[in-house]
Amino acid sequence: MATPPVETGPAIALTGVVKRFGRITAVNELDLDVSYGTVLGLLGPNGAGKSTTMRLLTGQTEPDEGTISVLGQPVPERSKQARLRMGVVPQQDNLDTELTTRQNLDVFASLYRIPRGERRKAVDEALALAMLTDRADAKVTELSGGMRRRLLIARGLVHRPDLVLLDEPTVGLDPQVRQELWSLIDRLRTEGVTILMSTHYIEEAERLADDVAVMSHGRVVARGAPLTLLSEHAGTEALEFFGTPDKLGRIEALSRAAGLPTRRTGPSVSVLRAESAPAALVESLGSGSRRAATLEDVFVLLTGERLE
Amino acid sequence: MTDTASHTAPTTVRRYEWVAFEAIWVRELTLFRRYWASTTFSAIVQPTIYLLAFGLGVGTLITSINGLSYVEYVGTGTVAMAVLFASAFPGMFSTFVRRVFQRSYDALLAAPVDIEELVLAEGTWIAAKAGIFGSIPLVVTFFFGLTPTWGMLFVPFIAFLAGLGWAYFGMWQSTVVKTIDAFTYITSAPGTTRAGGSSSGASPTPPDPRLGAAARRSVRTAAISARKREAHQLCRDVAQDASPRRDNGDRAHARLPDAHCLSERRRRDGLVARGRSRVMHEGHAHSIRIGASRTNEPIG
Repeated sequence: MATPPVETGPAIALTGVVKRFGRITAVNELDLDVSYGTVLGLLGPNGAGKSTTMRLLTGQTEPDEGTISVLGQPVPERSKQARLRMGVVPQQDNLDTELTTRQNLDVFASLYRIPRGERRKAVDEALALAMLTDRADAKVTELSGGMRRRLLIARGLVHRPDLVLLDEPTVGLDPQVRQELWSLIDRLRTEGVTILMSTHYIEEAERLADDVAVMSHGRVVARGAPLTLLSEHAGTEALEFFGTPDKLGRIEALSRAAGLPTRRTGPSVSVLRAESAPAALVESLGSGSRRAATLEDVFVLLTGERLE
Repeated sequence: MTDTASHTAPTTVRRYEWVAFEAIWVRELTLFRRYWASTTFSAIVQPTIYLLAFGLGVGTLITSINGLSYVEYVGTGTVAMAVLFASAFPGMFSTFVRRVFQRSYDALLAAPVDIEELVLAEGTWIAAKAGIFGSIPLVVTFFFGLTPTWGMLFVPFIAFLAGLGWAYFGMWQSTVVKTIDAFTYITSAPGTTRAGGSSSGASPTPPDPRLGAAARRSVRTAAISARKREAHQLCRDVAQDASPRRDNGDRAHARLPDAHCLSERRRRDGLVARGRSRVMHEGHAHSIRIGASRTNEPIG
């Protein structure tokens, strides 16, 4: 981690990857690469193929088509070598609930081949990182939800991996715990760890990711730095209108006729690229509130408004 | 995550590695420290109850069977049963719970552990427990008048082999059944091994397809050969008392809905007739005892 990886080429590279489960195509011709030392936020609605992509990277699912390389190793053929230098934080808590905090880390310290003499130190460091030192001997069932998630993350970091896969790391956590995890992830980034983080919290991607890939229906539909994506797809400002469905429908029609994208946000409609809207149009739309465009606007524009 | 250098990973990684095997065993030992007392308790109490019930009850009416005293006869039978319980049940239930509910195997397989190592480590762990806890009833039987002989020193090893076969049989079944309730078909009607139906149906996020496919292949091979071995070694000594237990098995059958019972029987008879399930058939004689009781093994 302190020694920057000397490898050339991307840390993760997927080319034309297809994964089908029966008639469902979870990952469809996916191309994705992540450079060493960067944080990639994988954004997408539920069912977009984010978790399947994560499992393809660990060799826990094998692709039907395409090639995958992780840390220079072809996967799944040499997945074990890649996994040695990789930390995985799953979406679902799979800690050993009958064991203590420390025992959970001990098991993984040995699984990750940390030499016997260094295990104690590695586990102590992971405990400190996750701020669980004083709960080291508590059973997992005695920990709070936030502590369990921190332990799950510490478990994936106990061997100081070069690459970390975080699958929805902060889902279901309260704002304080989320902040803590964000600062933890930020710290890893400054240490040069490559991170692939799937999330559907837009704010999380905006804050942490150098680069964002928006997934929909098993492929990447947009890729770039958060600000670039914003200016490309949603502009800088949005006008938001509230009102009756009729009124909202009229606003949508007018805006689209003028070439401006719109999106529904529950009871309101947002007209994007409002900064480039002609004054006459703004006049005819009536009174709306002006706000900054967000990555969420991009997300909804690109992945569709309706649930499937 | 301080600024010290990262741990150097070994350059070569072999297919089977002692370190992965060891780590899984350490994990099992750590878990075992939480439930050894209850397992030991049942390993002692269960044969005691059997020996008291059959020894003092039926035993007063029967003096010997095939030249064996009744205590010798029942005592050795409890060994076979203890081995079966200590291996087939953890193979089925613990494996299923860890794979599907606790997702522990997901966690292990995301680390540098391959499916073959996991299956080998879990199977031998269960077999080792079966070797030890399967031999305890033998020691109990000493107190009921069984004379120790040198040959009995082989019992833990035979129990280990038999346990290995049953553990893999259980693990194989745990990849075949769709829900944990489907194990009822196996526990109440052993010998009909395709109890739960196939899990090959399309599911968007199967817990681990590698367990489903690769493991099923390897486990199946291991299970069948080990089970065959086990059937030969243990059944030969114990199977003479198959008839009373076959009654038990039929009672277990009778608890199932009639239609199911009939079709299962017809299927089994058909398989036997076609000579395909020689192993199942041989195993049936003492596996029927599964239906008689439940495991004391805590799940997980």
